[in-house]
Amino acid sequence: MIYLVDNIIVEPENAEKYLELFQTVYLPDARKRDLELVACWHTPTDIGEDVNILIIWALRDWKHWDQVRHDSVLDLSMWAWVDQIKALRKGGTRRFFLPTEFSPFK
Amino acid sequence: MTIRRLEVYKIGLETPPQTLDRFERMFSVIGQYIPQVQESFLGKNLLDTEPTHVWEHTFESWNDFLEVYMPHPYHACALDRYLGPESPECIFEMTTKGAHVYYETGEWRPLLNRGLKRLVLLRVRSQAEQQFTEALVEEAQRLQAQVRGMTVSSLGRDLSGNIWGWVSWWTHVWEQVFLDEDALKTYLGLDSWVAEQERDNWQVRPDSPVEDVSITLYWKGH
Repeated sequence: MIYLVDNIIVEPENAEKYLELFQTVYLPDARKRDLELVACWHTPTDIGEDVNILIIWALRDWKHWDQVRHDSVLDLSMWAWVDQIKALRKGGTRRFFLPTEFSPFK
Repeated sequence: MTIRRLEVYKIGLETPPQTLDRFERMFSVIGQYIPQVQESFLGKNLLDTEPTHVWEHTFESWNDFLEVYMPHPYHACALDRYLGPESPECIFEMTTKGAHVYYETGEWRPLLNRGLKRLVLLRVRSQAEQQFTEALVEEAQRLQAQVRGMTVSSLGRDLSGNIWGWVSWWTHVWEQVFLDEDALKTYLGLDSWVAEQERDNWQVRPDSPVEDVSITLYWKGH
């Protein structure tokens, strides 16, 4: 397995809106594009710091990602979602991870 | 047969310099990780048109492109980080003058692909396409022969729609290389219907066979 990990940084006051849009707008279509959500976590929203939202997707292999990428480009709803959340997103990172042999979670 | 692939981007102006450096470096080293990606070069547009960068490269076969490059981890981990619109690190912005285009050519000579590079993308109205293409190819060859410093004039139909099953916006890809600015000026000054259109940046008119155009200019590999 390969794990796509997006770490998105938002202002605390935007966290709820971002997560709502992710769950209601992005996630249904992402599932149709064969993306499997493994986790969606966030840091506390009430401690006076930017909120980190961690979104983890499972991919079978690199070919799976190639297909997902291709389908994303053709999916107009994905572009519409990006337009909605761009202003909410302060920054972040995107990384692909490979589990180690000894990782309890693979 | 060589496959030439060109991606035309608009990179956000607010992109931090160190991010831009990493982004630019990515293309200069890609061949170390994916040897099938040949002649990788990222050009910076000198014109006051929307695109900011052009990434050009070559594949020797469709297998190299589709089965090696597309699913390669370097593509996912390095390129998609900055170019995937959903990625929080995405630095490209939408522009109607951007492109992902490819064409085949039997006459590509890498050693000549150095100098002042001009990329012309055309969208030709479908009813005019065949006749226009034939006339353009013929005239482009004639013009190149008249300009000593025009080392490359490589024109082809964009095949991206055939590959991906989408409707490709651009119909024609035209790569031009000039030894220097004087050669470009000579070319643009020629007495020819094509040179006249080029001087005019292919201004779109209702009666024109060209419906849209994207032009970029950059120095490559001196």
